[in-house]
Amino acid sequence: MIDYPVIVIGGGHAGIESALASARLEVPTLLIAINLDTVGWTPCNPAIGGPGKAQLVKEIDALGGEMALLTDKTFTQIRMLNTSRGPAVRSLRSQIDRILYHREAKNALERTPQLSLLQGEVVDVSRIKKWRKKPLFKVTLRDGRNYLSQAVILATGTYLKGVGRISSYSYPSGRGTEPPANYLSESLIKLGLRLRRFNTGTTPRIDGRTIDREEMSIQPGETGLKFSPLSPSVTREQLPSYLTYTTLETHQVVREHLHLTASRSTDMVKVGPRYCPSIEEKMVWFPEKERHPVFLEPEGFTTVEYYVQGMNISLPAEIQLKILRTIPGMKRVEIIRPGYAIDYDLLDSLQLQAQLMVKNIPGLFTAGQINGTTGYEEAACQGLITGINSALYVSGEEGFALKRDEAYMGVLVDDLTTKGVEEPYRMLTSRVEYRLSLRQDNADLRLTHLGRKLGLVSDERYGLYVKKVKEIEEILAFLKGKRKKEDTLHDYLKRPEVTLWENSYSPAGVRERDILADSFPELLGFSPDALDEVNTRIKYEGYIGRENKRMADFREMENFLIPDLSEDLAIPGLSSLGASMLKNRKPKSIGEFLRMPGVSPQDGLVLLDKIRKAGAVSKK
Amino acid sequence: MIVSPDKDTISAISTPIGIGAMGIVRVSGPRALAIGSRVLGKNLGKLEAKKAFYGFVRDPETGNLIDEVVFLIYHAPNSYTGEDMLEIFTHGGLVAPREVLGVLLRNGVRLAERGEFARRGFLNNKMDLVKAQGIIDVVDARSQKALFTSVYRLKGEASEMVVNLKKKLEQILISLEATVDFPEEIDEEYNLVTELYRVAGEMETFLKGMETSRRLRQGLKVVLTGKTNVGKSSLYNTLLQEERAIVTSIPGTTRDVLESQLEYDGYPILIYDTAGIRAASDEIETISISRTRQAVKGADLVLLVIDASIPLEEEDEEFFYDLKEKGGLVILNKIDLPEKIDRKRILSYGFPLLETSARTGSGVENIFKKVVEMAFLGNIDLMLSEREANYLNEVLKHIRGAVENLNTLDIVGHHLREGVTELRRILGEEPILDLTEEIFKNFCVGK
Repeated sequence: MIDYPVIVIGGGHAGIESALASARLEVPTLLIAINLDTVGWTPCNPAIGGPGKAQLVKEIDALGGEMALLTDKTFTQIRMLNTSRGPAVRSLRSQIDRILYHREAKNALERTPQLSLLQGEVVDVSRIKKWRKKPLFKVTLRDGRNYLSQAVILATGTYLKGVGRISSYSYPSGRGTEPPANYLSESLIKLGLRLRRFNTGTTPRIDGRTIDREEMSIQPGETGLKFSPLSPSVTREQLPSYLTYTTLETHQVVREHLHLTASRSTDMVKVGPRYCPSIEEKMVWFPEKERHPVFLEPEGFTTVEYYVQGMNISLPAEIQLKILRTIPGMKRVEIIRPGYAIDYDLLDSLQLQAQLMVKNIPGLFTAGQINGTTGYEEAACQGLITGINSALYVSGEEGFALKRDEAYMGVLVDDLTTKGVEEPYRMLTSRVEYRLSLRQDNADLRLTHLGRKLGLVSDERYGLYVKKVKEIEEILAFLKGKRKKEDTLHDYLKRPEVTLWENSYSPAGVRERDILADSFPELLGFSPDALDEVNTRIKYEGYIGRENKRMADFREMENFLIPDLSEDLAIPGLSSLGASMLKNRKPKSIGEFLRMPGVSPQDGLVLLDKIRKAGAVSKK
Repeated sequence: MIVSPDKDTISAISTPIGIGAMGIVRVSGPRALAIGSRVLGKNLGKLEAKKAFYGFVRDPETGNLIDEVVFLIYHAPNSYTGEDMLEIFTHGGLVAPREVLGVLLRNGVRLAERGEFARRGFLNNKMDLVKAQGIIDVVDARSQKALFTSVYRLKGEASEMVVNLKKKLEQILISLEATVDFPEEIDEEYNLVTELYRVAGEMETFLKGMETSRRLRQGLKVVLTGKTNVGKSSLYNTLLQEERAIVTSIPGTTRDVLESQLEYDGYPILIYDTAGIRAASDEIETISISRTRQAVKGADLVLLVIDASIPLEEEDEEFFYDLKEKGGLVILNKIDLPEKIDRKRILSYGFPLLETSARTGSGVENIFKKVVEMAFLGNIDLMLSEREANYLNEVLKHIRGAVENLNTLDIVGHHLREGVTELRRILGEEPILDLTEEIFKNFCVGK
């Protein structure tokens, strides 16, 4: 009856993780992409990681996802950001080779049993009769072929009615110069989904042979870093990036042509990401700034193209060139591909539940930009969640969701599904309440056992996790058993000047460092990861303890579950906003209810009281 | 129902302050019995629940005796809050319950927010909402609504200062978060250190200013000291114009610290009469001495009473240490009797000298005038409750925590977030600041 239990639409970062996870959970899965030659493409900057995003990549990896491995195989440069600012905000950032990344991504898909690939444009997704009490979906391609499935994952990126714009010139477009998906939007509206529109943009790509590197500062990579513990250590030569700045002249030229920018010269929506403003927007929003940084990032080992980070622009191509040439080091620059803006359809993410399944349409999942996020990492983690959940769904098992106190992924999904987004959503460390506990370096300790339980974590990955846990216990036992001065090493390590080994975090500025591994060389027999974990755990003990208390309060509210309430349940004492949120968004817990905009603390109490009196209380 | 072991253990005085012969200090939470065991010096886990036991609260750090108490324990979920609980019945008045609460706070409990016991009781299904709200209304007529939020509304100038402080702290936090989340893009020179030090300084000045207001809210604490039989209790009674302390001529009659509230010219004053002993012969006297020490420690002003009708003794002079530490007055009592005291020697200590006769009541008025002049006149512009002051002290702790950890921005961020949350709580605002929104408003973070 069905062709594939799970069909994934889209071959970007969300689609890849989604299809891999579903197939790895042994559910036959079909991935359909408009162009299989650009699977895993990075149409904006060729970079993966950075604050907030690196944590996502590490979490995807800990759960058995692919992104970290693909990145390690293909990066042209890797660095650790925020090194001297504390372990909770340290973040890996890499530049990747765009073409290699695509190749490795496609290869990962092709290597996976149970996963099939298909090139084509999906024009319709509809619900047909039920099969084994569950609805069936019919996925129709433009050429009329149909595929039946139990679950569909929409990972359509910017393809839905995408329109590329360079000034007043506009053209239907997916990523780069690929065709958009112009018909799918209508079919989603027919399914009863609310759509909206966002815009974003990208920068020109320039010819690296036409820049003067000596006029810029060089940003080299660092050795010895990688995202996944599973990757072999990387020794390949890295490519540097270059930093330069805009000048007053740059700003002058941009200002003279502001009226030509796409959002001013066309009817494009003006709902773009504020953390990624175009150079035109920078002139308007921050007129007092005399210069803005510009980073030139290599697009790969085998190309001369550079990405001009910071110069997101939609002015006419010849003006773009004029502007770039006012920047030091770029006087004779040539543009290979101009920058452009793009606007696209997406879903209102408030229609989703924590498994990223549409609330009223069981079996329909959405991941990535269609949910209002931006960024490869944000997309990939949603892909992983939908892949896992679609597989669980077709197997009739309970869904999988992470909470705000468990993972950055939990924060992201909760923000999307309870607060909603008003602009393309990017992950940031400042969005995370329990930042000291949810670090990139302990993602495996937090999540790998969950991935294992799901069946996504390989023996090899699980073995590394078990080894790390064991090493941590051994180090802790060692520290408690040995003494220095009048303290155990465990307590001695709490002093600010003391660190476990030379690379461990210690407050910068402390001159006389006391490295325990110098006097206790046995410690060097343990892995650096385990040593660092213990070092952070002991030094941050008090703070993490405080966070644990906050988490306990948070969980208490999460665990007050709200049963399915009948539509006409009138609750006296509930504010009108509270009542409307309850009715329309159907929160699953008091905690979720309280996070919805406009819901007052009193509403939470009134509802809890009502549920209890109705005899329907359930507490985990 | 499982109460998470990570939840805070909370405590508060649950009897009206300063009224009644007995104080009740309640403790609730996963560590209630563990912390109780520490300060009571007994393994509470082994005791029978809901039964009264007799014991002593001591400061585990110093071993000092705090109070002689009766206490009860409750095991979760069979308690008012549904958590493990401890109820300590202390001596009444102001000093004993506060000291007991103080030692608990120093040993790992957190001061409960208004209505937090009832809130926990409600969340743990020990009572319904109507009952919980009713309790909170009784506990505090001012906070009608809040179980989840605590509403502490400040008034006037104090509110303005807190609002200002909050704005500054938020600004620092936003800048910090922006640099952490956009380390490569933000090249603004931002002097976190200078800004933090500046705010810490302002905060300290502000809290000092609040001292006056505390005196206004709660009363100025004036402690009578001096050796036995110099007429402290008579003077105490004369000051109060009522017979409260047992006044006899047997040395050491006042074995406990007595206290009373009165108003002079609109200024609230708390007067404490202490035992004049400095060496104990039994355990009760030991408590008595420790009480006296605590009273003097908490005093705003000390009135050293000296009997003018007998020559100055070495014992009298020992009491000048308290005066040096706390400031205050020397009161020459019994001036209706023939004077045998060496006034020059007393004056050489450099404290204002007033004379009085507790028996005739002469000079009492002057004592009040002098006390008010010394304690109140100057800057009475701020009004804060003790609870508000407590929260502000927490904020100051976080600012100091931030200053001490300048090299690790994640920790600085933690302290600033907590500090801002406390301030917003004091102001009755939503506890969470939307940092992301503020970062985008304030910084050009686009790469």
